[in-house]
Amino acid sequence: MDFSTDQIDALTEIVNIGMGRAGSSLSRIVGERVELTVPSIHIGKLSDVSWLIGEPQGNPDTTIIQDFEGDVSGRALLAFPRTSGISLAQIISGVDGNVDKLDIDIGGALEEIGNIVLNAVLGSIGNMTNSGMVYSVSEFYPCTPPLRLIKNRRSKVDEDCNCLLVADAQFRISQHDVTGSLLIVFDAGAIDLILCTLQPAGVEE
Amino acid sequence: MTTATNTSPAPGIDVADIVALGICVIDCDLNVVQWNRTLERWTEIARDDAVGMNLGTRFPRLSSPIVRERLANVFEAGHTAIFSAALHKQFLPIPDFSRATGEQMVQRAVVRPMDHNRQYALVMIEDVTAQFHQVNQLRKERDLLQKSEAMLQTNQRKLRQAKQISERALRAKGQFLSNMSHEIRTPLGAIMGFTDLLTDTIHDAETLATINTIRRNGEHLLMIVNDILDLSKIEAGMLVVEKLECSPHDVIEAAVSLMRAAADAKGLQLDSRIVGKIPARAETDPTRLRQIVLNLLSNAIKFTASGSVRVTTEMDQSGRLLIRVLDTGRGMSNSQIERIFQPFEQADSSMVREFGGTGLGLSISRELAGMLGGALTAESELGRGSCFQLTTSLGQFDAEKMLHESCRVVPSSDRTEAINYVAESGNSAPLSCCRVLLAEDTRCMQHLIVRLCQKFDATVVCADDGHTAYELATQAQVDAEPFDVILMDMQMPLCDGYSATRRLRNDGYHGTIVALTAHALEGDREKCLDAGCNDYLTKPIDRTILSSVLKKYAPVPSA
Repeated sequence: MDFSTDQIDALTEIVNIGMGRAGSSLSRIVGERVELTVPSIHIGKLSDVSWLIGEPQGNPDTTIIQDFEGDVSGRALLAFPRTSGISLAQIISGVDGNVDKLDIDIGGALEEIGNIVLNAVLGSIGNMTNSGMVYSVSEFYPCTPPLRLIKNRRSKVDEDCNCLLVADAQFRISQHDVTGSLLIVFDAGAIDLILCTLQPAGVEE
Repeated sequence: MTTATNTSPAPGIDVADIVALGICVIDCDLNVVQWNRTLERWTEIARDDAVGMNLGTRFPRLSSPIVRERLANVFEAGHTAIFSAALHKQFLPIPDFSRATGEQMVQRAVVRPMDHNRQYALVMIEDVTAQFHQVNQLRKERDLLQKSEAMLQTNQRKLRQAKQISERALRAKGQFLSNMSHEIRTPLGAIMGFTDLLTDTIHDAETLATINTIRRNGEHLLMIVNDILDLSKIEAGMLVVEKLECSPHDVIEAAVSLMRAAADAKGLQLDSRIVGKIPARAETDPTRLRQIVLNLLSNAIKFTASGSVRVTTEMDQSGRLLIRVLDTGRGMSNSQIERIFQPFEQADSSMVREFGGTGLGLSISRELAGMLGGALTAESELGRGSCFQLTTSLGQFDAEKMLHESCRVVPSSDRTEAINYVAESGNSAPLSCCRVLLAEDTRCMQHLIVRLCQKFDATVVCADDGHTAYELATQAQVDAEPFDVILMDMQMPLCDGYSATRRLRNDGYHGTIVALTAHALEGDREKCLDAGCNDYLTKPIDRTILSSVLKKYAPVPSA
């Protein structure tokens, strides 16, 4: 299934709304303005991940995942290149110094950031599609590229369908720009369901 | 109500009570429905008192807008909420009982809905105090390490700077040595050269004795200068030994032969012999080996009033060449032996007065022995004589070509220039066909070399600098009267010998150019040859060597 510009726009808006909410939540926690932008959304097949190469910015190996079940099911991932992840956690948790490893503090902060962002985005999708979802507890993987964590779930995914949504996110906090990527892999049929729900009245594919 | 705590497979045991997590179940108004033993212990609130208690009222922190909003999302949107230690430090204000300082327990909490209706939420609180403090401790240690590393880098930078300064100083020292070598050797060369010439023309015995005294003192002064230069080069790390195939026996025999006259003059018996077998050819630096052996022989003869000086050569057990120089001289005490290898030291100060010398010879010889892959040691007994033992590496050698005690070997080429040239030169046959262009800026040296060349019947044309030499050489070629040899002083004002030689070679000049230099430093020879010279002579000019060189390049007279 190919997607129309309107459908892509609609998905972008949903993710944007979720990111906005996540930014607000983080701002309240850290007491500073945290802005999350979604410059572009890419949708593609999992069987052909070549389009992904270079897309999750840098070489992300710091990943937070959260599964969701219900009318729409799948796995959401927030991935950072290690240095970006460390910077983000440092800025938000107020830890200073030249940190080059993810310790309990930094890992914990990233886990909570991932939890907030993924909750917000998935909540936004749930709201817009009016589908009930059950979320797992988010899990933090400090040295694991996101694609490896997507492969774990392949049995439930139709690899030949456009099932993977990738949004490159940018966190802007205290004059710092930190980049990461939001990835959502939908189980078979889920993305079609979302797009059908989003189908604007009178718009034919 | 159904809670997770009721799903224990073991009847009578609540799973929530046997885990090391604080677990409670709350409703959407934050009223406690379930409270596990761990929380009882941590909060000191009994389960019965906790159930029905409102968490937001009991712990006002949970009523803050930030926490309240996220807890509300658990019930309203079904989110799971994580409250990390990094961002919240604690979920419930619980004292850290393991510390007597009144610190609070550091916690990580997860709140998630328990059912689809989202009526209840499970709160799981993990005590991460220990890890948290460990991390803080590690951070402190890391900060200390980073400071140490920064200091280390600063020190390394300072060391690098100091090394650069030291290297610059060494280069300056090298340059100074080079200049001093030239400045001292040039006038010495003139003194010795002219005294040499005078001995040929004066027949009055008293005057001849005076001239010989001048010559001897000149030679002594030259030896001192050479020693000081050698020591300076060693200290500056600029002295490099070569590894050439040569006959160690020839080198030793040449040194013995050179010292024989001195031994004879004192009535000492001087002999040399091989013990066992030694390689006919080996790899070493013949010049430096000869220098050490000459020094040992010179000392032995100097400090032996009567008796003998003997040189034995053999291979030691580790396959190195072992040269012993034994004398029947005055000998030394142990404390004197310790001092003699120190620079500027002799066995005792009275020896300087009695025997002269700088006290550098043995110090230099020991350093050279080390550079040749061996060592120099001494054994002695007062009144009984001394034995100096020199070992050197032999490098690669043919084990089938060995010399033994009965062999008598005629000294051959060992690449020592003097020996080479003396061997090749034969006698002072005239060089009447030889046209020499002498480029030399020092008048007395010019005069000396002209006189020496005239003695060989060679024709000499002089140039005061490199530019004039270039002009004269070029013109002579144009006039079809080229010079047979150009003797080119390499250090001249305006246009030095290097520039003049390069210019001539660039113009296609094929004639012979022999470098004359007072430089005696490592690499000078290569520098001259690189500039285009065919050969290389060091000052002071030895008349025999000069004659040999001229003969080597002069045209053969027609019959």
